[in-house]
Amino acid sequence: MKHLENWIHKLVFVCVALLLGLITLLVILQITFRFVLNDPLPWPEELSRLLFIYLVFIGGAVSSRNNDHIGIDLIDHLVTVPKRQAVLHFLRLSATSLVLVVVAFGSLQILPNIAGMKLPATGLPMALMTVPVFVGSVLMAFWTLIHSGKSARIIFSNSGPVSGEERGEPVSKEDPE
Amino acid sequence: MEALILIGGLLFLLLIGVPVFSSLLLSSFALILYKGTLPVLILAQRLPNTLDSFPLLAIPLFILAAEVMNRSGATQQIFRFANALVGHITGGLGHTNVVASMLFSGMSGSAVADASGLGMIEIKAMFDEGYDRAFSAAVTAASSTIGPIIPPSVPMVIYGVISGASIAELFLGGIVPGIIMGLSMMGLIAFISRKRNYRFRSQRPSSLELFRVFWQSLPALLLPVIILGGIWGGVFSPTEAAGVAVVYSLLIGLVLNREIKWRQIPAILFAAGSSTASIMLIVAAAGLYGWLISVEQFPQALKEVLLSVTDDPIKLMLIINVVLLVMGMFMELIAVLTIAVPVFLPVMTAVGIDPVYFGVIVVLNLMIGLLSPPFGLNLFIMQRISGVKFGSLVRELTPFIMILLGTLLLMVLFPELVLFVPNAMR
Repeated sequence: MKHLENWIHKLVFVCVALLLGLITLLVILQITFRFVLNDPLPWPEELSRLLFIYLVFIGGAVSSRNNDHIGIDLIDHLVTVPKRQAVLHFLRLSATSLVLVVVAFGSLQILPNIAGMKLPATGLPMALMTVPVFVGSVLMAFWTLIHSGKSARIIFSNSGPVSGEERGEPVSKEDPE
Repeated sequence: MEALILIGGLLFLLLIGVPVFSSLLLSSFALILYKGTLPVLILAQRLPNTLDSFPLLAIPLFILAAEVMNRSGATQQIFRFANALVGHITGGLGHTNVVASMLFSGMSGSAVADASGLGMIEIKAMFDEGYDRAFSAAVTAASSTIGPIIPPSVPMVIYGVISGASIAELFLGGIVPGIIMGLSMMGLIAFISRKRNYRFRSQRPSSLELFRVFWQSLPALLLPVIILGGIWGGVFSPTEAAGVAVVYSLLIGLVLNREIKWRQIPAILFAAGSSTASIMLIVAAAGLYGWLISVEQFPQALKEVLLSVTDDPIKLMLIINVVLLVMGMFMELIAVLTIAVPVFLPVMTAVGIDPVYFGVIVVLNLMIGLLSPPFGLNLFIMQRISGVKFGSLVRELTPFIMILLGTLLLMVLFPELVLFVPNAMR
């Protein structure tokens, strides 16, 4: 399992870096064509918008892995018993995974409705706008379920100290090699 | 009942600590289930639609440029320059802190990035010199809110995309309020430092020394000039300016300062990409939530209620500002922005208020929310960085929040302060 987790995180790392790199290059390409060659191109803009959707949904998996999605952690200062914190954390994670699974199924349902439709400038299939929503929610649900598994283990075990991660604190975010 | 599910549900989920993006999705999902008339797939369909906008691309690029600047040594150079400029005034590093934030905000657009990047340098310098820890943390948290007011600004890009107002004009509208914020904070720091007898200050540098520090930080200082000049002159769109900022900051890091190596680039792209994603996921989810709010016709209902109370623009501005302040105290900035703007903007335009002016006011208002208990995000970041107790941080921050409230009131009473610069461009 640990092997799979590392592998997925490395893949996400490569995707996020590549996507943002490509978006940057496309924007620069567009500026160059508009200024230097005085001939604006329509496709880099559309392609960069499409890649941006991929960046957001795949990049969202990083916050899910590190357990540091933006949220309000005031209640964690009020609930101090580790086991209760674990229960709370488990509830949050379950709620998040539930809605992510719903979104993933929803995105699969859209695909037949937009089959054959194309994006205007690049001529790419419109389905490519929905694919990142599916991939991203599956990835985020994967990490969320892993974290909820860890919290569930604490809730049902009777011994041993509880690590910060199991109570819902963000995990360290070193970059993969 | 619909309102209870959407708004009550959201508040409850946020309170128990469910991440903002999934709270927005869950309460939208609950409403869709309750009504039974909308298909569930609408959830997945609306999400990418909000993101499909070229102006929003300015956000990852500005975040990337700030990330590169932070690792290129340019942030330290700006800090040294600010210190040479104002470090000798009573309250020394406090002023440096504010001026460095003002200069740095010409490159970065996010208060949170400012609080955690430059903030680290600022707070460490103040600790090392022996300033009271809570005071140092308060100054750093307060000065970081100048970032999104002085252009470029992530929240203003988001506001522009939602409202259709010109992002370039919004950027220009932030200049005067940002300078007023900075100067009034410096006034407060001088007052407190004199009262508490903070004697630390650096020696006044000789003109030669000042010029040397200025020369070293000149490449970094030119970046805001390029960004603003380009936007002001109509040469670049904000997204293009962000692209130019990335190239320019890479030149500083790779060639000029040589602090960045090519092999570090993937890690920099990854860091900027993943922090973009965590913000934009909220924008995407809030887009869906805001759409449901408008389907439920909340904005129309609210418009009628508000206009039946008063149709005086200033009174309406005051009412809406109070509502926004309360929302900002309890909710995350980007979420408030994406939800509140579609709700309030129709009322504002109905009484003839300029959308650009309203945008600057909204962002300034939400910056106060970032600092306000119980849920201000910058409070938590600063507490994590500094280790200062929540209560003492809030106590030290209170005068700064008052100053910001005063600035906000000034802008409400004198719209010209905001509109003066954008009008000059129109």
